[in-house]
Amino acid sequence: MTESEKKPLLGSTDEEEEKLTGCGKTLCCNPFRFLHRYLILIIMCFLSFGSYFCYDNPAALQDTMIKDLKISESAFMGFYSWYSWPNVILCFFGGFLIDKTFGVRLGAIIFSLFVTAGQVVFALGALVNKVWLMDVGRFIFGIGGESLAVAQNTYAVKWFQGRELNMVFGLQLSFSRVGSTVNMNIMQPIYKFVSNSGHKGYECLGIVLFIGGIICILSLICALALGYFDKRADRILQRKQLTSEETIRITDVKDFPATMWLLCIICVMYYVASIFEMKWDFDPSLANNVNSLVYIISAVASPVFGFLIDKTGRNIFWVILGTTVTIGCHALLAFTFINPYVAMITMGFSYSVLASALWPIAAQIVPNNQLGTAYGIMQAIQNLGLAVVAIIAGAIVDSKGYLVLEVFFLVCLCVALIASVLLYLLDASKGGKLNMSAKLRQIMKEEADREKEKEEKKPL
Amino acid sequence: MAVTVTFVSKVFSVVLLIIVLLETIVALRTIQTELNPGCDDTKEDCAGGVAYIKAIGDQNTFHYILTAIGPPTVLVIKTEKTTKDAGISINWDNFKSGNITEMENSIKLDPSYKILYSYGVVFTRLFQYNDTTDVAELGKLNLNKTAFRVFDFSRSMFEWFDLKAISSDSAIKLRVKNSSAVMGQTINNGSLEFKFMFFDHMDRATDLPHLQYTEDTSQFDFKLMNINTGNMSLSRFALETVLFSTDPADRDMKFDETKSIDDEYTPGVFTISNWLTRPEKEEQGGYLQHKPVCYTKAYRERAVGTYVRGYGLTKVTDVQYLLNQSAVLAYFGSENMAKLRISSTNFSFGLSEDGTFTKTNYTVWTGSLGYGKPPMDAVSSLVVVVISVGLGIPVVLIIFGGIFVCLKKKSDPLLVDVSKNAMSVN
Repeated sequence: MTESEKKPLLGSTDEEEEKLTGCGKTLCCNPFRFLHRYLILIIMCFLSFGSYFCYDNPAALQDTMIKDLKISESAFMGFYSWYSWPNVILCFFGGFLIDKTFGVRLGAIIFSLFVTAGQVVFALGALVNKVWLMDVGRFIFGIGGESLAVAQNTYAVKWFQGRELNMVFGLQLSFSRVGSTVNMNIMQPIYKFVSNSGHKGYECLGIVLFIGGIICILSLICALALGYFDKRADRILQRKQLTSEETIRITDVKDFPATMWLLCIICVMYYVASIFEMKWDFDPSLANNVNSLVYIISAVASPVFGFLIDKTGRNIFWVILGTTVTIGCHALLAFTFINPYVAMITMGFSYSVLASALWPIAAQIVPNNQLGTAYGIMQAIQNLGLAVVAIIAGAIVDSKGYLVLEVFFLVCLCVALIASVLLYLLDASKGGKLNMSAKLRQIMKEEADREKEKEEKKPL
Repeated sequence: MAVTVTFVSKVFSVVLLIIVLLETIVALRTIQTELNPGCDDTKEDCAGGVAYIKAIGDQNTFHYILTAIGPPTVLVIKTEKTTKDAGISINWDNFKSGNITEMENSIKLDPSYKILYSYGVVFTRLFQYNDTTDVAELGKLNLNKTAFRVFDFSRSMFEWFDLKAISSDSAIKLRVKNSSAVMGQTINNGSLEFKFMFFDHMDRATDLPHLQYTEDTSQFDFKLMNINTGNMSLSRFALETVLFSTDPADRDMKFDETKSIDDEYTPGVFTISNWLTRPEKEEQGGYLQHKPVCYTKAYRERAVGTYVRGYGLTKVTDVQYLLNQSAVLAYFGSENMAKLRISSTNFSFGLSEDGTFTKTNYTVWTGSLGYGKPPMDAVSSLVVVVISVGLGIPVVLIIFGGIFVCLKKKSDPLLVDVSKNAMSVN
């Protein structure tokens, strides 16, 4: 990061038309300057922090929730199904609406509102001890949550494409991890605190969930702030406004290039293999340690890898590398007795590589006015994959054990690997735009700029 | 290519299935069961009762004597085969007396049998403790601070149902009727039960952990349920188990744990344990085999499985008084019993964070008691097919794809690395 901080990444300030005065001129507030972009990045990261935080509220309070609400395990799991199943479709429409109607600014605000409202309804349901109301809350929360992630991705591309996009995606992954980790560690103490102050049972639970809702409001504020700054940057930077002809139609989806669908396949096949939590021959401390270790590693490593990928380019190679290493790790887990820490730690790293390298590729494939839809589709297919595979994986492990489950995951990963190799070939046959090295991309960009200048000068 | 491989694999698995279906179960032994031989239930009290099972094979015969008179005991005697229809004789009054001298030789096997080997198991004590620190390990308990109950399966403490009333020919049940109170708690009305099953063929149990059995083994379930644990709200249990054999006492038994990557038969469990009575020649000795898992609900599934911890083997000293009340003494007599190779260990049920026994108030543990080399799990052909097809196809695709790309790259200029093109532009 240090290198890019030293020089302003967007040097040609002479195009500036609106005179920036006062505070707006300073490093922090000038959209032409790098520091402003990084400040925006912080807001961007907190945009979906609330939804990641509250998503795992039930898990953090699992035992107390089951006890206070007197519900079964399966009713508890319902809080997650009501979130995830609707999103198998909904976040596609969320992305589409961002492109078509709302725009990313209004979209982010609306989806943040849904997130906040969902959490409030969820908490209200707990407060009056109505499980169906809590399910409704989770449903509303889900409508917002996943689509908000789509909006966040779209924002990231809008502000960082051609610059630190891979690192930004890495950082977003890392924030989602931080969000759920903070939730896991903070909710129980809050619960204890509230119950010590005299509130008991579901009443206490409701209050605790309302407190969780405060984080959602924080995210809502971020959405509003981001909307303001984005609009301001549009004006100052004179970003191109979309004409009505350019806005997406639903039928445009069928014209998405094959590379986009390959990307979807990689996305779903890779992520399904990362969902499971292994039970290490009855060693709960090991299982807990290993799983949280992977979380921490990917939180720390993804921005670093993102930065590296920004410097080197060649995203598809990184994807192939990440997938191959993950295959190796799963093979270690399945076929050897080598300490699982080794495989899981390595997997934490390869996961980070993949997450940072994969998502920005979409921005190269699909024009910006269709990007919300593209990310919506990726997210929707991923959700579908996760939901279906969770069921399949459960059935496999219960009937045939972890060895066969690992083989199943290995097959999924091999499909992801094949898809990424195909992606490389298809791209290479079209000129290799996606897998360009950063250096070459820079050269090409300068080349293009020069061409443009020449053409602009010609009529004179 | 992928299509052909899938097709071949499909054909292969269908053929496998047919082979499995054609493989009819061959009975290798004839099982004869006698409940309470020589004791007439209608006229006298047979107490916990005695079950006598004869598993007659072509080469030899296994005689199983099970009883809950005294500590629950299974005695297995391997003899040469005889043509006579002889069995055991029991002097019921003497056996029931509990007095050492009267009990001696109150159980006799017909002298026409040539005895080859004997071994067996005695369950001596049940421990209960309140696991307030959730360690679930006997050695790590702070005994000064942990509420601890010891239930001796002694004649004075436990009363058992007559096994004849609750058993069938193939499943013998030793079920507790009542116990005297230990620190205000009793175990009563079927809360504790041993169930033994016998087989005339080789197969795998239908219930988890799907242990394999042979015609030389019996399988047992040890079950605890509906126990009013009273003030011990975090109760865990452990079972003390004694194994004996007619091997020289100067050498020790062995507790073997084997790890495997394959958990297809018992999902989530990668270990199998064999407690060998004759490690120096295991194919001619007895064993107690189990997987370190027990289930906390009657419907057994991976999610309700928890750990069974074994502890090191020790020579039996402090439960001699219980062996003196057992069928082992009644059969061998005290002089011969002293010559047996004996060792004991505890099996504790549960694992930190599983909610303790009290959470479901149910635990069932399965093991098998057998003779010969203990059966070991092998990777099933189904799993081999899944692995080879599932991983074979992608690997083949990747290899051939790679070769194809390399060749194509040489012949097709379009596929030449774009960077060279672009560089030349510059």
